[in-house]
Amino acid sequence: MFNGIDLDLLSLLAIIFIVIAAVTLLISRDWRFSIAALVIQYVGAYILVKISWPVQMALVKLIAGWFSTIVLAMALFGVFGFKIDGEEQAMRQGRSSILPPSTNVSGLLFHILATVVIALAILSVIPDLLNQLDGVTFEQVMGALVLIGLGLLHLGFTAHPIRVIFGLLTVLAGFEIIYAAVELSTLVAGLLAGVNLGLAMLGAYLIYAPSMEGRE
Amino acid sequence: MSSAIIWILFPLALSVITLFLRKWEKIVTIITIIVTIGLAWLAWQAPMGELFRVGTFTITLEESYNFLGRRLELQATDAPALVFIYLGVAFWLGGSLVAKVRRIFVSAGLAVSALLTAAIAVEPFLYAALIIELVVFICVGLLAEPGKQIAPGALRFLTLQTLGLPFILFAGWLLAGVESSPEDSVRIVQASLMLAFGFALLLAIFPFHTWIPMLAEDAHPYTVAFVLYLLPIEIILLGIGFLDQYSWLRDQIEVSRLIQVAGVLMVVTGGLFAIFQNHLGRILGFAVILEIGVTLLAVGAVTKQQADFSMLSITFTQFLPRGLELGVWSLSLVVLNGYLEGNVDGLRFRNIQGAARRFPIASLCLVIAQLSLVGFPLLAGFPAHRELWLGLASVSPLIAITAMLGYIGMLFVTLRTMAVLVMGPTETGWQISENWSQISLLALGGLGIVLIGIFPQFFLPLLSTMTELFPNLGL
Repeated sequence: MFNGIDLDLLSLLAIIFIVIAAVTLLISRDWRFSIAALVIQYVGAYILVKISWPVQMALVKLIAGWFSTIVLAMALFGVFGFKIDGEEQAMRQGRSSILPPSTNVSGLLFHILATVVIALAILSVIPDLLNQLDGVTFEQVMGALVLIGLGLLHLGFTAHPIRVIFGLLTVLAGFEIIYAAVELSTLVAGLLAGVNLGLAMLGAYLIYAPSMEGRE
Repeated sequence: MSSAIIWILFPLALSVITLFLRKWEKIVTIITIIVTIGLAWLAWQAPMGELFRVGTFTITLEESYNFLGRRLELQATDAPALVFIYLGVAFWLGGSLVAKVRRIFVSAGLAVSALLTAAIAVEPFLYAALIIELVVFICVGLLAEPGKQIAPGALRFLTLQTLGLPFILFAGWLLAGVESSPEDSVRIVQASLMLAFGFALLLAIFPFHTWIPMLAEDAHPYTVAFVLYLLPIEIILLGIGFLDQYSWLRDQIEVSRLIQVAGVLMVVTGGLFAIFQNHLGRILGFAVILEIGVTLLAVGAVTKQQADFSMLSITFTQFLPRGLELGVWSLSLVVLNGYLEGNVDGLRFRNIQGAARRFPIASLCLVIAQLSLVGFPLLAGFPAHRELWLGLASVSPLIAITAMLGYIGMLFVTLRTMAVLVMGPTETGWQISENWSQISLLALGGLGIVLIGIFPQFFLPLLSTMTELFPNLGL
């Protein structure tokens, strides 16, 4: 199916990072794990973007991603603090988090099964995509599709503001990997960094907004 | 001095400053209105690219401004669009004085106007999609009120708009490939599908429309109307930009048909679904869906196959009456909502029965705005609708007749609204409960709708000059 594909160590590492990060974001019930997953996700994305872009341009993705993560982490820390487990966090937010407290095991199994389905779908479309997109490597397509697929899955499972922001950041990171291979523009890099940061700031506001008062 | 500094960077900087001064809401709003009107006047009067004399000073407004290796270009042909954006924002800011919106509305309005200008100015125009995404973030921030959980509709709005962005950017890349090898039919299909899916998400085309009524039900009516007025217009301009840029796209009869089918779907969805609504906010949402459909119908007729370029100017002339209609409609809802303060059910029909007896001005203006929106004669919406129906009937009578179903639905909703507002459970006497600022703004808006309807020749040609933005389509 994937004859002639030769993964170098760094790219393999990037894909592993991305898979771990995307799955953690999907099943994590604690914001600290989610934030750590975002940090790792952007490292993976950086390595894959660097295949097509010069280091200094690719670094923009990493720095913008990490800044977005810091913004979200500060907001989450401000609202929840460190000493709250996932269940309590879900209750304090007034809605179910990713996994409702009463369905821990079944919910986890469901998420893992859905992830496997997405993985199968990704494996089936990679060859076609590689044929269609000139200049995009197998690792980039693989990493991008994992992020897009699991990001969309994440979005489909939740109506919680911060979860939606996590999902959107994941999908965007996936898209940026493929788009970097076809578009090398400083302005686009800057604007996409702006979009990531804007999304994170909006997420931070959405975390704080319910606890704010008055007509700001 | 670069024109981009005046119409993009200056308003952006001002929006940040006003954010810190929001405590003095009224003064800041009035100053901002004056500034935005000034920017509109300057766009109208200042010849871009030429010497401009202000007293003893002479300034050359440079058309191009380099930014991160790309250009922001504002030319003389962009002037009507600048006038429209800044006068439009001034109009919405004026209404905000009585609409009790959030204090950051002024800053958000200024930032949105600057970013919309940047979206018009950026070259290649494709990158406008990224700037529109930033506008979406500002709008969602504006819609999420402090002290409340964010409305599910706003979250869905954010999700769908953000998901649409990759499709548009990727379609742009594919389209560039099609330009270089037009015989590549596979790539043409891929590019068209990407574009169609991207715009379906951005323009809330059925079945991605659900966030609009949800948002209109839960969020502040005036803020919702502001967002639902400016954002679709900017996305439509981006879409027309694609048609203008890529000749093969406007030569494809299938593209035109697809846009028109989407338009009919939106008009029918908006009109017929509105019949089943019992909430005035949700009805406003469906009216916006209908209006997006109307614009798509007009844009769909602008192709070389259809050879009806006059439809382009009709597309733009709709923008002025629509702004007035949505502004007056939402302001009326704000007044009626004040009457219902503390009622969790909000603007449902059962709560506003007989409200016209206490709020006759707001109720009258609401009905006028609704009637104008369905193209009722002698109101602002009529001239553009008349031209549109005449044009559509000549292009495709089937599309015109099908789309008429949506209008019949919305007309029915208007009559129902009128009945609900007038017939209360108790036959109380008539009185005016609106305050003077509400009366004056509503009367001004209502009068504007009537005046534009009676004397369209004085107002509507101003917007039709926006066709100059798209030289390949309009000429």
